[in-house]
Amino acid sequence: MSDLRKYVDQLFSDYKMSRQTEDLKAEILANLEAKKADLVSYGLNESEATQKAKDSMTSIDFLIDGNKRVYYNQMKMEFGQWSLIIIIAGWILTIPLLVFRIGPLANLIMFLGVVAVGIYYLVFRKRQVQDKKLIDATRFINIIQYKKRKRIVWILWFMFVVISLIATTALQFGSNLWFSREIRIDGPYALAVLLMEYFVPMLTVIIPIITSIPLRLISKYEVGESNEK
Amino acid sequence: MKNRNGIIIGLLVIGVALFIAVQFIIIPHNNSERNKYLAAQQEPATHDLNSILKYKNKYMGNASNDANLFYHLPLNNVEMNFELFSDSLELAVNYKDTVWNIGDEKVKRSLLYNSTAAFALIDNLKIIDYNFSGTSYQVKRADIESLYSNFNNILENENWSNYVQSKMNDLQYVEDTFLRVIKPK
Repeated sequence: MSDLRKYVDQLFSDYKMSRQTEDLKAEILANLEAKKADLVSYGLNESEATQKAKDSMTSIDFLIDGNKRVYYNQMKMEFGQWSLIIIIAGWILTIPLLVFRIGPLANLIMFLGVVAVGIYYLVFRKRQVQDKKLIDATRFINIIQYKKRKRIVWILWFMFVVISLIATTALQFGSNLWFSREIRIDGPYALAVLLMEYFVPMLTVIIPIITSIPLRLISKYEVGESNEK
Repeated sequence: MKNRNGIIIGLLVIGVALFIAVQFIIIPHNNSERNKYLAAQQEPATHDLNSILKYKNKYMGNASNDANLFYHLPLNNVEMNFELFSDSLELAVNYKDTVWNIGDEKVKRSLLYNSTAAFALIDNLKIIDYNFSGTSYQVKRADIESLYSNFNNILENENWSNYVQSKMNDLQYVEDTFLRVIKPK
């Protein structure tokens, strides 16, 4: 394998190979080989020409479709804040349910989520404050991957909600439906409790909402755009 | 960025305050009210008629309805099981304890009250057998009906309170009535 081919392979090592990236890889390799041939024809020796060709292409991140260069740590900091706000809001929503003995597990999970995300955010923030260089660090992230991830999470959530609606209905009314008995709800308290049983699984909506946040932040923190410092 | 930190702190304060209010004020208060209500359900004089009206049924053959009714009447803290004798329209309630352990007066009050409730709610029930460890009683619909001139309307709240519950605190009435309508087997 030629030196340039190895180099190009290395440039693409962070990316999953698709037809598009294979084409791009082949094109870059052809360009670098042409450049090397030119340089050799101008009198440079083989290794000097190879080195110069390599130096002319140190990264391919900006060529990948959907890649955006962002102030990654700033973006991550705001992502942490929004995640924390959403998960605390979710936790608060589960607290009144405890009065009706509904959703103690949901409340516990939300609380542990608040603690975990809170600690992560505080540690991350402290590191940023201690090392100012980190704040301006940039990195390429792929908006297409984020969109794909968002779509998958929303689809999974939607499926979960449909299944949980069916399961709750079966649990609450299964025997009435099976034996063709009248469905009775004894007053407003029983109705409120029933509605809360349906409400608890809906709280998982915070997962797809949190997954959607980075997409909104990418344009805000893209290098060259007006960014919040 | 600072605004969002402010929102986080504000939400945390709201969350912690709400959590403390719910866990340390509202839930203990509700539990105490619930315990009072459950204790009241053990006494015929304070039992909640509305908690058993949903078990009104034409047929004594509906076993789950019969069981649920007795699980919401006084003596429901005593372990029990049931037998149905559909031919004689007879229901046997088997309590897994002795009258001595439960208390003679409490048993008499409760059996009078429970029998009135069961005959008023289950239309075709004719006989109830109460079997305790070592002692058994039997009560017939006609005998319970004879205690009340308005048995057909006895499930109205006012009637229930005036003609059934208020008399449960009268020890002499309970003693005499028990002897008259509830027969040892």
